[in-house]
Amino acid sequence: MADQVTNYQCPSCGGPLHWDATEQKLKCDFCGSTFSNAEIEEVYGAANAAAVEQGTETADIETLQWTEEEAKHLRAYSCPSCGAQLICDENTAATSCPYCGNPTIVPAQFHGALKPDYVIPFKLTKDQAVSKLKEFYKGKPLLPDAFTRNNHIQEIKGVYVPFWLYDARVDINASFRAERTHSTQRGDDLVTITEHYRLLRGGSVSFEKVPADASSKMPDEFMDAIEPFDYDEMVPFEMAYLPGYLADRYDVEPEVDAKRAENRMRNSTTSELHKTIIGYSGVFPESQQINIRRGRVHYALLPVWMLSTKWNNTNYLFAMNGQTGRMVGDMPTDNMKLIRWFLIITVVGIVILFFVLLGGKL
Amino acid sequence: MKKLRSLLTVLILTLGLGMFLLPVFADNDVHVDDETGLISDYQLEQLDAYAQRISDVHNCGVYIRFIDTYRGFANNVVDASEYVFNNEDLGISDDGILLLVAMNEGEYDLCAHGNTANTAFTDHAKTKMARRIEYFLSSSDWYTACSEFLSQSDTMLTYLESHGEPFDTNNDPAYQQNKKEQEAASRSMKIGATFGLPPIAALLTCLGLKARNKNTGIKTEAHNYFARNGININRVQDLFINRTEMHTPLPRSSSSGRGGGTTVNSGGFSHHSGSFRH
Repeated sequence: MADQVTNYQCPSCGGPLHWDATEQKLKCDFCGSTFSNAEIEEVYGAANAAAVEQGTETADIETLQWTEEEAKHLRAYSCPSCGAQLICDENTAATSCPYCGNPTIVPAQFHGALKPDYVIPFKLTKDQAVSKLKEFYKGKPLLPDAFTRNNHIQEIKGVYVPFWLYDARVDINASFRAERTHSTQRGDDLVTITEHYRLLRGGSVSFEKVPADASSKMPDEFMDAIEPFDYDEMVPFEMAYLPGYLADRYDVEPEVDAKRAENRMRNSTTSELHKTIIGYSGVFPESQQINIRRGRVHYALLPVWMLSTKWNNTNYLFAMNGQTGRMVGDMPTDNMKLIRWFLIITVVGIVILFFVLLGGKL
Repeated sequence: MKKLRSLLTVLILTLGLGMFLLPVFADNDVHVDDETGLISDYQLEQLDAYAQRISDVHNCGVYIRFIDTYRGFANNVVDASEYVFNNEDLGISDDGILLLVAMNEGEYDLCAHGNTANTAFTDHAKTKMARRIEYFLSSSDWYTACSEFLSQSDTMLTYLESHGEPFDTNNDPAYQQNKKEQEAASRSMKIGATFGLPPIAALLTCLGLKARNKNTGIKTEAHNYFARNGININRVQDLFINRTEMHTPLPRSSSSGRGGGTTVNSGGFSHHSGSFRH
């Protein structure tokens, strides 16, 4: 059994350390001591290097009851605290031991070319995530009462989600046919005068760090919806930010995600170009050439709280930006409430219009 | 000598009074005149006789003038008809109606002045007359247009005399029928709106409320990620190609929207003008 995982322990008492979003430091669960990243890296830098050297391809699959296909994607590690065997996904980079609860990281997942360029540390705690979820339920009149009343969060986990951040410059040249129309009355005729124009537009738009999540486990529509992250708080990656959270390394190649990011850049560039077309009553595209010059691709871990709840035997997933607190999710609709709202608005509308338009008489 | 002086005095007074009164009672005998040469002499005679007869019967002058253009003495056909009416001393005691047709401009004006004319030729009456006249003018059937004008004038004046009130919206069966139909249609629309709009509004509101329960979605833009000073649209050219004009005849304003009566301006004239060339 390979012993290639590390868990950060308190230099004072030996208790497990985890990243404290409030204090923005590593904190001991037992004695409450806090340590900066630099202090911990100094202690654990050598241990991490040793763990990497032992490799990550040493899962003892013969003793596991998995199919061959499943086993190919699993890795087994032993917990440095209690010695229990940890079975993880092949991409798992940070987790916690199910037996002793100690935060555990797999340094090899972030070694060499796999090392992220940046990380945005968690700023919001688990408790804040739960209270944000309760706030999120407010102002939604079609949400079933029982959903909020009997709602129990099944699972809440802080995840450092791998993202590709793309830099690029988009060059665009386009031509449009445009019309400017005005009408005037001459004698008994309405004269509509239309001036026809040809519009030529061109230029470039540069983008920095357009994100696309690089984990196939994370639903893209959730990860897109929690944007934007504040890149001003992005820092060079250090392993010390991970304890206490889950983390995966990327499993979607940058070439694959680039299509999504480039599509977004293309749309925004076209939109900026259209902003320069002012004062026309009709604009019709004639031709458009777009050339994307790719720049750097950054690899970053961004903080996300994933919350799941269960109601009526259906799981509902929510995601919260671990930095800004933006909460997204899909919730059920109470069809009876929907019908009630429909009927109330319809009846009130009919009564008002009955008096306003018909003077109260049919 | 005294007698001669008295006779001279009476003569001077009579002449003076006559000169004073002459413009008031002066009637223009030419009822139909065409400076454009579009109507033959024979037709002119017929029309003139007809106009004279109507004027005499109803004691209200009825006139037609075809002119080449009003440029030079008026800015528009309305001013032109007032000018002609005053300058040619039209009307029996200034009471009468004139159809002025300006050929170069392709415009016409029905211009009434005086108590009888303004009473008989209400806005509604003039509108109704104009429809028929305009039809023949636009067909270049000048003689029939004039006949129609005279015939309609006779009808309107006769109506006033026989009914004691002018032909107007309140006694035009076609207008009343049209008004009833429009009111019925308007009411049907209101009933439709009363019962149709609220469900649509309710549906849209409910869809909006339902959308609040789902806020995930794939992003299709990258507005948050423009580089600092990264937007550089440096080619902005708007090239003018050409200009086109489309002429659409305006729908004639329906008399149903108006009340009855005659709109008389400060000069005592009422008008209905239009163009017969579209």
